[in-house]
Amino acid sequence: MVNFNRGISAILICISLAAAGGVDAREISSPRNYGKVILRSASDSPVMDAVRFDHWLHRARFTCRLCHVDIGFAMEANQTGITADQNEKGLYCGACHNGTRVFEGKKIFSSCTATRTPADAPRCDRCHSVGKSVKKEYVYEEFTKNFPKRSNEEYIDWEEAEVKKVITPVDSLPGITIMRPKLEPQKDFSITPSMKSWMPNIIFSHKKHAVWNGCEVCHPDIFPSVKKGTVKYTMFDIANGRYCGLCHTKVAFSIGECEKCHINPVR
Amino acid sequence: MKIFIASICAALFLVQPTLSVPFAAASGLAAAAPVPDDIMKEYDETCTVTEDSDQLTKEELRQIIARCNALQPRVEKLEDPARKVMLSRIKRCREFYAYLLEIKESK
Amino acid sequence: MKKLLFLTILTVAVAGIAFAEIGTKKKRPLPPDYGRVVLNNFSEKAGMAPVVFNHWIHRSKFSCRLCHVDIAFGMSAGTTGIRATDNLGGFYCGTCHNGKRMIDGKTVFESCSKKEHTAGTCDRCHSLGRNVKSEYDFAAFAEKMPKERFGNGINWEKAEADGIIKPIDFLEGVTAKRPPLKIQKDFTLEPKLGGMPDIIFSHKKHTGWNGCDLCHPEIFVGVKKGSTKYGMVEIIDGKFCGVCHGKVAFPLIDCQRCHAKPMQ
Repeated sequence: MVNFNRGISAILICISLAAAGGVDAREISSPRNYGKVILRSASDSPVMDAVRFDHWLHRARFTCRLCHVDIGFAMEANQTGITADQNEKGLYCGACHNGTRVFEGKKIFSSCTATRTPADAPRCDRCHSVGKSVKKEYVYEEFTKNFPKRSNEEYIDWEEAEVKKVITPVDSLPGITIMRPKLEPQKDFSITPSMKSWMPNIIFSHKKHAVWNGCEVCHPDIFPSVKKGTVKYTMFDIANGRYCGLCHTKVAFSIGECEKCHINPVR
Repeated sequence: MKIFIASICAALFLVQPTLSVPFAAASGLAAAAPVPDDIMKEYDETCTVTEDSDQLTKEELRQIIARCNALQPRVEKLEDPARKVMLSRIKRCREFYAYLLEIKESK
Repeated sequence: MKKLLFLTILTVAVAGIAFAEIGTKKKRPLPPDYGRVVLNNFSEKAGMAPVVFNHWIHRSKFSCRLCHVDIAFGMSAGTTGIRATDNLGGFYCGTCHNGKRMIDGKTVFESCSKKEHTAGTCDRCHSLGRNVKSEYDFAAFAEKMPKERFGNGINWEKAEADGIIKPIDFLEGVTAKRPPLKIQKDFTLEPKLGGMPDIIFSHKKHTGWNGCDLCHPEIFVGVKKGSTKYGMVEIIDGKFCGVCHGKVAFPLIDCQRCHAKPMQ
């Protein structure tokens, strides 16, 4: 029985990972490319090159909640549908990238102005950089030099970075955030994989997730706030970018690192 | 036989958009008949009697509901859209009084 | 064994379909787009672009009750079935949009007018997919309003409390004249699931905008508190509180607006 279940679980995980848009989930990007998002214009003949957004720089400075809840960015590439006009009006990127907001003592460069001259090209290229060789202001290797890394890989251990105060993500910005009284996060709890497999139970920490996401990133859209066990999902769904997989395939640590979630000591 | 039925269905499917246009034209843009004064008056009197709900007795509520019930068939005879709108208003009004009655009866 | 495998895959698939919307995060509508309703019962069939109705401008001028009870608009897109004849007969949109009624010192333009069959007039409403410049600019409007998270980004409650907006609740010839009903007290609702603060429900606020008969008994049928059982799943599904909250009133992502009782 045990052997059969192992086999089934292995097959299903392989199918789901393969089904998750080809080999994306298995082929984890290199550390410097992990969490990159390419934003393409909706039009067939765009005026500008596609935008490359690397999460790591913003991740080091801000919580997920600030951008994805307060500013309202969607959680999937191209779903927000940001236009130059919106940026100029102070929405989305333009909430900070407006040439006037000061952060860490520096004025944040403005994105997408109404008029564009050849002199603006270097500024536009900072984001519209796909297909071009652009010298970036912040280089990954240099910026993350002193960040704690995970064992034998060079992927950043963001949790550890916060604990060691290497980074202190900002959770609210004036003019953008309207704070509410904090809700008490639920206690950590254990999730038993529904298919009785050899995989250990998952330990889910609300406390950790709430630090970066507040409540609103996940509730009620991704996880309806109902009795534990009501909403059923499997590795299929996660590998397909739903539930945990919305973050933990592309931006947060990937599902390739089984032991980060399946923590309980092996039975 | 099957092919015949399938082709009729396909034909109907293709013709459908054009079929609806004549109906739209038939309804035309003629102004609809307004609500007759006596019906409006009865509606006003029935649905206006909403003083402090605690003051309405169960018997009074039953009477109001009976008046709404009597008004409904009169409104059914009107033409759309007056019929549609007045029925919806009376239905809502009647159900609210029935709700109030239920509250009183459950106490 | 094969049956078990088949059943497992089937369950996973069915569960996936049943909760198709859950597990992902939809893009949040921008403030001007929150409360936008597209009406297309008959527009396209009649060769017109579907109607786009944005709640915010009407919300600032009228109570919910006036349109949804007195004028009898449905609470869900497409349920009213408004026709051009209805509007011309002085019903639905035509109650005010008749070229005669004055609101805020201005004459309200006629809807579905036979007279002014220029492209400009119809486009004011039949605007889906067309680049129509609206008369009222949301950004200019919202600038004057107190700010709030999510939804339209406007604190409608405070706007009313501060007197910036004064929603009309009575229209001559439309609203039955009535003295106000006694307003029920505010009360607390305890969530079934522990951990979240209790909900404080304010009847006073809700009756200000809705009266009694918008919610009772159509949306809330129980006569005793606790007789109707519902949870977040039903609310997210657009029932009970979710009839308004999520589409027009403040969205469900704003937990603390309802779960407001301080934890002991």
